[in-house]
Amino acid sequence: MINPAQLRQLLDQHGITPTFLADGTGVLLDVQGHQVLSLNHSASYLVQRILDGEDKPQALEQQFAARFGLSTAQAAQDIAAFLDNLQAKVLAKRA
Amino acid sequence: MLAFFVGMLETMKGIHAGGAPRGHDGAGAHILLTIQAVRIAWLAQRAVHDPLPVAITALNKLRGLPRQVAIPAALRATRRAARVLSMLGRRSQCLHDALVLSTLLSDRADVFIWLGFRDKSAAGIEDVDGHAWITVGDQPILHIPDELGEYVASSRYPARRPSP
Repeated sequence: MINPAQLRQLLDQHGITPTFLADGTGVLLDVQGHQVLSLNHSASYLVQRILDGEDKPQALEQQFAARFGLSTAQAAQDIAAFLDNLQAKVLAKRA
Repeated sequence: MLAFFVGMLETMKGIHAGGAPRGHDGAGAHILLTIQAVRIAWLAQRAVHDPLPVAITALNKLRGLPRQVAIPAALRATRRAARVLSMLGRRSQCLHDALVLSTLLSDRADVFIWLGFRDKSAAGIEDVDGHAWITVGDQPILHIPDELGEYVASSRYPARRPSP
């Protein structure tokens, strides 16, 4: 499973640009990979926190759980699924 | 399509054959600029299959690009080129137009292509709503000014010709 620091490195490495929109959603622009990834509210929150420097998985899980009213176990599961999914989408364009 | 280009070239030859400068009406210059824009637009439609910085660099390296084109003239030529491509069954999107216009103006030092997005509630759609525009200095072009605030700039890429 990819961790938050690795995700930040992945985005940096591939020049993927985040844009956070007024409605709380966001977009990841992957110019090299020719793709635009739409982020819903929770995904946008996660990416924002990670890019702000939140590297500790447990702290991220607690913040995410508090923000969206989840148990920390559920938050951990959602975050792991999101990070893996995002990594797969980025790497798929570079296979 | 070939017939179209032959027709355009004959028009161009006719202008040269006329010989005299046309400083007062500029019709010849407009036609030449439009031909350039169509050429760039045609190539831009293929170039966008490359990563954007690669496409921009490739277009800016084209030979024979016009110099010191006024922004309104470049904009008109870009729109004409989009219409020509539309007649040929090639829909021109904002990114194509941004590539054409920025290439026409790329002998300037301060031309950038911007990509931006706006939130779905503003756009009234489900999917991502993106837009491409250019700036020359601080001046945004290819953008309805009222809409400019709605798009959040995501990234920008310089359009600059290589030094001769």
